[in-house]
Amino acid sequence: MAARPLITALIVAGVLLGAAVLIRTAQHSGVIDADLAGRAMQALIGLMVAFYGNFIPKNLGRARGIESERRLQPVLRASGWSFTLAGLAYAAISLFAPHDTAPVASMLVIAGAIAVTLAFVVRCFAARNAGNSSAE
Amino acid sequence: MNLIFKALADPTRRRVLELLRQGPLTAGELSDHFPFSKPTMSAHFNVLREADLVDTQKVGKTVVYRLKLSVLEDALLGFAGALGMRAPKRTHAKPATETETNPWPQDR
Repeated sequence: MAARPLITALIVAGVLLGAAVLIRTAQHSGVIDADLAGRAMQALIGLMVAFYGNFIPKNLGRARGIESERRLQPVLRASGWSFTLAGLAYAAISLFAPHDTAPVASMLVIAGAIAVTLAFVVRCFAARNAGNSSAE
Repeated sequence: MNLIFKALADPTRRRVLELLRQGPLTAGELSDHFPFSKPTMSAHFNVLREADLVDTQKVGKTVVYRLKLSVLEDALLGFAGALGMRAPKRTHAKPATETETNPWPQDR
């Protein structure tokens, strides 16, 4: 993925569009009902979040200097893990949770992943500022 | 995927990845944790680089290694560590020979 991010993104987009067409066709032909079609599309979005979360620690660029990278690495790992797990949870919730709770629960899961990432980013900046002030 | 499994099958390479979890390290700093010769460690580093699990950057005369694991590869590393053997930790008293500590010397 690192060498061809554009091609990978186009393939993912193609898979999503193809799956959407398949789901809509299956719904129109009566194979699945409208509720399951909606759930399947939400699950696909969750899987896409998990797919991109999986590559977060691998693909982002280098920081300036080894000390910066030491601070940045936990942020990348935490955000990768949180978005991958959140994406999988989003897909599972979209498929299996009751109709009235699924939208809120799935949004909460994604919000949790964002909160975890932001917490690590804040910690990274705090460590940098602490390092700068001790250097002065 | 074969390259990834090959890289993760060796306890020394797993230990290298675990050390890199703390942050980027130079080749010398990494080698200090193992009782192996530099060519042996270099071969291990090459396997990790071919599997795209580490990234290298030349800074002056030193080579800096940094972790390049996706979440799935990170999970595989965890499973391999949990199911397989732990890599030997460096003991300053008496360096072990490679055949004593490396169960797969043909990987080098």
